[in-house]
Amino acid sequence: MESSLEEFSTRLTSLTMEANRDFIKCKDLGAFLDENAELLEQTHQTLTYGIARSIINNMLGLQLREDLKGYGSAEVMHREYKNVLAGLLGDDSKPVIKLLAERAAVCWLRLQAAERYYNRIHEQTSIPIQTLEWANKQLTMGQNRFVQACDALARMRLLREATRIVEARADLAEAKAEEAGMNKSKAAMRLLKSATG
Amino acid sequence: MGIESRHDGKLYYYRKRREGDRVVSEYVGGGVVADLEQKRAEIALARREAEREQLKAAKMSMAEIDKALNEFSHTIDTLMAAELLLNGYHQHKRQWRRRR
Repeated sequence: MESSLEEFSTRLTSLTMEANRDFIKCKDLGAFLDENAELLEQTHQTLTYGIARSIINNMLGLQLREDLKGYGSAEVMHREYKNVLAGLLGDDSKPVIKLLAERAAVCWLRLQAAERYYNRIHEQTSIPIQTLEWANKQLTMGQNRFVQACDALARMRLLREATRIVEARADLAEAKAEEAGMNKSKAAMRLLKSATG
Repeated sequence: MGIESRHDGKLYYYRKRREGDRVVSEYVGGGVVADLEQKRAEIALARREAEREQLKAAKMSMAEIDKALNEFSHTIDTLMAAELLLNGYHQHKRQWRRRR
């Protein structure tokens, strides 16, 4: 699955770049996305679930345990992640929005892990300066990643709304033009009738 | 560390602490007290080592998770770009503009 996703990602990147240069290539891009819709749906679900679970396990140190201690906390954390995801998603069910919201939720989880690590480090009596710097860097990176992910989600929603407004305006202009044309033909008919009658 | 032999040939426990550039020895006790204190110090040391190991392991597996997250994030960014291109936008100098 990993290699097929890698192939998909490489092909998608090249097609997107081509489409950005040449509008005609959008057709190929659209066809490619339609062809791989199922793969995308499956892999993204497995991936996000896998990443989220790995972060939670890491955060609670579950990968080092042989007993079942900590699994309850992991479940609580996973629920919290699901709640954040639901809040970010709202009523939107568009695939791209769903993906962007999932990314933002995973980034939120990653930030929680960085914060937890930072707090654990500060509970220690003696900390090597490198570890402290690493924890600080992780926290900053986590915050930036989460803010960027939320920004991308908000921008996508905004651009979609803008597209909807532009399309609605175009439809309205077309309808007005049609109406004006019909009025003109009606007036011509009336004129013809009055001339003949 | 901690248990020291004195002139009378008996063993006593001394706790060490740093004060500026000096190491200060603080008398704790001898006999049973020294043994207990020694055990307590060993347990505390083992706990600190274990915590340090755990943090090291967490750091290493976090690096792997970050790698997967970055790859996933890159794919999502590309998908977002693809969606915008299909909706009539194009990117110019990192800015999304609607095609005229």
